[in-house]
Amino acid sequence: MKSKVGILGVPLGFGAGQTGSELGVNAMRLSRIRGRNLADHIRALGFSVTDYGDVSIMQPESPDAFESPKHLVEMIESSRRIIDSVEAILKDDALPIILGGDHAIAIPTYSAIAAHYRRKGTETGLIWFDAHADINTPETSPSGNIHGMPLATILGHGHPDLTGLCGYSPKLNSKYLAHVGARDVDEGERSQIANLGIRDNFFTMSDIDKRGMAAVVKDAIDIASQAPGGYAVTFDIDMIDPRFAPGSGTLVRGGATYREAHLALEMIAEHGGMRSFEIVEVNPLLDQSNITVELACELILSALGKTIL
Amino acid sequence: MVSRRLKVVNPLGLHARAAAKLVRLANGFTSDISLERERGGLVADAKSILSLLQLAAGSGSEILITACGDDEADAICAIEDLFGSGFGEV
Repeated sequence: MKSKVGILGVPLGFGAGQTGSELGVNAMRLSRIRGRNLADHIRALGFSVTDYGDVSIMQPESPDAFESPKHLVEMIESSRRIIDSVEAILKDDALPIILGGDHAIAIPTYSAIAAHYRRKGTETGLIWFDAHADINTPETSPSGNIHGMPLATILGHGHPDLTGLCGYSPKLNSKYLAHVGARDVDEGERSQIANLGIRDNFFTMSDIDKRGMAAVVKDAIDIASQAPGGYAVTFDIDMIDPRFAPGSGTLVRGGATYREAHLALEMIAEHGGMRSFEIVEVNPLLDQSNITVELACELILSALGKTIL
Repeated sequence: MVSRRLKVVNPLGLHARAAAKLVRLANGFTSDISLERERGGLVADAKSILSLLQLAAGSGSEILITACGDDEADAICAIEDLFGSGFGEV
């Protein structure tokens, strides 16, 4: 893994139906856990840390939107800015640690990472932790919220102004995708997964129940690490059970436990192929005693190699 | 095919919200409509916000608009009005 870490805040919350995930950025950045903030904890693991600040997000003029996808103009403009910011970290040869924001940000963040490695002549994979499939298109989405569409978009299915960011599509070859933790999948998403022939890239909670988190994450790493350029990791906090992570907007019971989530990221850190880490959908307005925010920070540390002993 | 050279007159240039207005307008026509900032330079599709933003057309830029299709004349007139109004910002 790289020795430099670049923290980037992406306070974009309009991709979700509920307000508050945009506040997750500063909640994670400013929370003091056992007396230290996130950057200091990362430094204690031996990394040099630069905080690249927050991306300036173009806000919707009105919270109401009736088109699908909602807030497309703001998403396109904000995506261009996010891509520039992620690219700046990669050019500095640092490992991006991206604080969301809702999961719509995965469209520009992964686009930036994929395009960066593509310019170097290689392809990247992706491990996607989430209770939801996030593989809706504007046509299948029941809500029109972009945070339900990012995976479809980077696979090349969605609004052409979003699939076409960075000048090419798709950003991700589906054979390098591993999705872990799904338990709430819309009808249109089921069809999409079947039509794309990517059922075996999804490790649902049922798969985790049957086989255990360690076996599933090993398979997920095996898939994503076939990409010659390594893989990005995007972690929706709602993959974890609401008992441990209540501070998120679209909770679904039956998620991973606190330890299973850490185990997954510890295994990824041990593997060493991770090229960026992103955590999203942390909503401090819905949290209880900051436990979700603190868990999110702890998960970042596990992904960067923090071990118990 | 109809072409016309128009000037971006609003202070913010062809920014995201202005681009969105142009896309909304252009999508009301069946003609293909393109924008070219400099001769031989980048050509943008008037029906794509992303494409228009990549033109990076600031205030004062001159843009060559070309429409091609059954309603090309009407399209050019409507777009000329939108540019003339500074995308409703002046």
